[in-house]
Amino acid sequence: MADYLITGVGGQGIILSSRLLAQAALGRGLELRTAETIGMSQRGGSVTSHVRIGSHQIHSPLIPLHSADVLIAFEPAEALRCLPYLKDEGALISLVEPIQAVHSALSGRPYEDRAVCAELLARRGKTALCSSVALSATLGHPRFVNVALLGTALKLGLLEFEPEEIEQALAVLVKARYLEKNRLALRLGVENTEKNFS
Amino acid sequence: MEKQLYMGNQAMGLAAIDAGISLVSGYPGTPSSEILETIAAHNPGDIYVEWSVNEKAALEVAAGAAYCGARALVTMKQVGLNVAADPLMSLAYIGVKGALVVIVADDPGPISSQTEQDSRSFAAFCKVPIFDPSSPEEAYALLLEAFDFSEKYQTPVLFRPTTRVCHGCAAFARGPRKQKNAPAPFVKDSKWVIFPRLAQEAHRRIEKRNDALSAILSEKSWNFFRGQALKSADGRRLGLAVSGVTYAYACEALDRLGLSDIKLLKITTPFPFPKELAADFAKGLDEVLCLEELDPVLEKELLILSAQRRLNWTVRGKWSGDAPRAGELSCDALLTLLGAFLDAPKAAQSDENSAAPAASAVELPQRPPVLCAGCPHRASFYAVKQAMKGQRAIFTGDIGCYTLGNAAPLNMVDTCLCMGACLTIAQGLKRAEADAQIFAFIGDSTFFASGMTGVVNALYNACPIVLVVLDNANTAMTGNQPHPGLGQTMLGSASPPLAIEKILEGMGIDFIQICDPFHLPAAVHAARAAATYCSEKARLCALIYRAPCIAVAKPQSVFVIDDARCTGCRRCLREIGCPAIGLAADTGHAQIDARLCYGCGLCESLCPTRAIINSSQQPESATSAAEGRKGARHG
Repeated sequence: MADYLITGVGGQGIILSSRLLAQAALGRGLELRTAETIGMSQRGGSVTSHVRIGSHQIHSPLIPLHSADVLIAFEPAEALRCLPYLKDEGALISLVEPIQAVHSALSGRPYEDRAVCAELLARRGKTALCSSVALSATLGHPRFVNVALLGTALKLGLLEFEPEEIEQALAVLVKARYLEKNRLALRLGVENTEKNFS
Repeated sequence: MEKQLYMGNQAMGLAAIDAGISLVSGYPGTPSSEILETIAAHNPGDIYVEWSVNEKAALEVAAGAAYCGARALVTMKQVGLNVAADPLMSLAYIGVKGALVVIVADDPGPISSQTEQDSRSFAAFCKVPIFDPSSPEEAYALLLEAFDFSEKYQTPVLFRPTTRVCHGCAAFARGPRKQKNAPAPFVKDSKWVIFPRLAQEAHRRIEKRNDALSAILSEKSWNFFRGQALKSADGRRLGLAVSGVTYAYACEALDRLGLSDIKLLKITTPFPFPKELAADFAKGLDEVLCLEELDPVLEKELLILSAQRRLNWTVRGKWSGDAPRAGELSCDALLTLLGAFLDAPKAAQSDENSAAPAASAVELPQRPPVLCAGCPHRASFYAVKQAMKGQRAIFTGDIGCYTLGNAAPLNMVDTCLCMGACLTIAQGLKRAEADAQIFAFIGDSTFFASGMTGVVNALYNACPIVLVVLDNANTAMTGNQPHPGLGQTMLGSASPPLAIEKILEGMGIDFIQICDPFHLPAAVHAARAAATYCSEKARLCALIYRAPCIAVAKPQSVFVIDDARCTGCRRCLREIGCPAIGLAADTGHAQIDARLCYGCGLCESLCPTRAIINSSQQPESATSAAEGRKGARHG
């Protein structure tokens, strides 16, 4: 029973991640509702999914400000941008590798990802920052990193599900030829010890 | 059937199948596109599915089928209804024999549209009933009702979900599929022919019908009110009126405020407005707050009702300044609006909830949507820009991914209005500024949808502009749909692709050049030649820049920066704005993000020191680059 916000930059697999949680919730017979950003935002824009899971009827597809229990972020600036949606005592897990916006590159001022991560770590509430570099290398492609991060979130107890439930959700949602890689990504994420905590 | 996870658009697509449709037609448009795609993906085998060339064609195709007794669905976004307005206005008078539902997906915000228009207002204008679902599961059940309604009253009906209904998921159980209407052969009858005399009679008839429907809709379970008037501190009795997804936000907000029992009116069919139900609701209330997206439709109807029946209450909403006139609502917005209206115990909560989030100490990057790394439009715009450097030139743009060419550093879109306008606005500009060199940029899908008539207009009226067709073999922005130039239909059958150059030739254009925009010198040369031809011969000429969208093309080997040669001049960054090119903080040199690079090579053509190299020519970098490479971006 929780409200999850998932965010990142278009193309990082936010939609699949939100569908996995929704599918897992369905597997438990829980009430659920989601809201997704589809379309223009994918082209390098900020993308956010709201995933609401509960035992009673859920009305709004959008999570109100300061109400999310968990924020899962694939990009640190987006994590910081979405922080107002997270409860003060809510949990945050985020990748640390920045995706620089074209705009920042043009102005010659890439955003300060280290300052962003420092601000994330300074917050109240459980915060875990993870690097995706080693994971990407092992998996052979950055596209599976989203599922790996869900694995790490599982291990840290941020998600209400067991790894098997996410695996079952993968089987429903992912094309057969990518299933094994995704399962591996989930396992690697669960085993991942490269992270900072606060 | 058991509960499954469905996105709103999937729910509607499946509902249409379960309602027994024989045909679905549409034109892609966010947030509606997945509805038709769902029907194609779950086609039991006997539904005709078509992406039509534009929304007008889609509605007319569906109307033809509905004349024969078929159940037909049309899908589009809200601005698409502007294109389909001509047939819809007449069809309201002509009616249908089977059933015809037009799903028009509105885009509050707007998030990705030219306007924030409210299709509920359109329904009142074209005098056609409209359904306004508040959730994916309601959309499923309601669409089934909408088909029955259309068939019973022999009228097209509109169905208006919004983004949060279309692009959100819920879990529910789908029902069984109804028997498909077997369309009968067309029965010749003068009633299918619109004539002023028929229009006079039809108008009178549908006004009477709509009045009758108002009473009928007052009895339907999907329009209802519940709860008790809430007494304010000074004794005023308060209630709420909502429509569409705002109902969901209201339920959530009221739960949080502990006020779920407040008298609340939910209007699911805002036209014809269920007056009797509303009058009943008004009893015992001193004030009502209308919460709706986007126009003050409920507010206006309640105000009219108040005047007609001399109701002794105050109607509040957008016009009274109690709700925002424009923009998307949300649960947060409602907490604030309700707080103010209800003077509620919200006082404590809303301070917590609606306090502006503290600004982050760090400046966060702006992420407007940009052309993808490897997008051929970047190369096309750059080529024309280079060709016209130092000369007065105007670049009219159009709707599609290529609208994003307006952003820095390309700045190659000077106007953009609506589908197909690049050509015709260009002509108006030319009449006003005869000496300007004008380039009209249009995409392949847009060309078929509404560009061809603009070309004819320019030729017929002898207007010398340069037409630039950006042919990326895709309808990309809306999610990679096929179009007439590609030879593939939604039924999977091959159809002979329509060659744009042949169409232009057939229209009588003498100068037509086709180039690969990634061959930069040739592309620049062609643009110069076109401009020269245009001004010397005072005739329209055409350039077709042809290279596939990255969503439909395999990635090539990535490019890398040779640090030994890079001088940090940043030309690659400044000139083309590719998202894969960034700045290495330590060296100040350019760096290419191998996750994003698609291997188009445009940057290589720009580098003055030849510091950008194809990694396939560099054995060591090829391995690490291949590992980091990202595939197609959409999804």
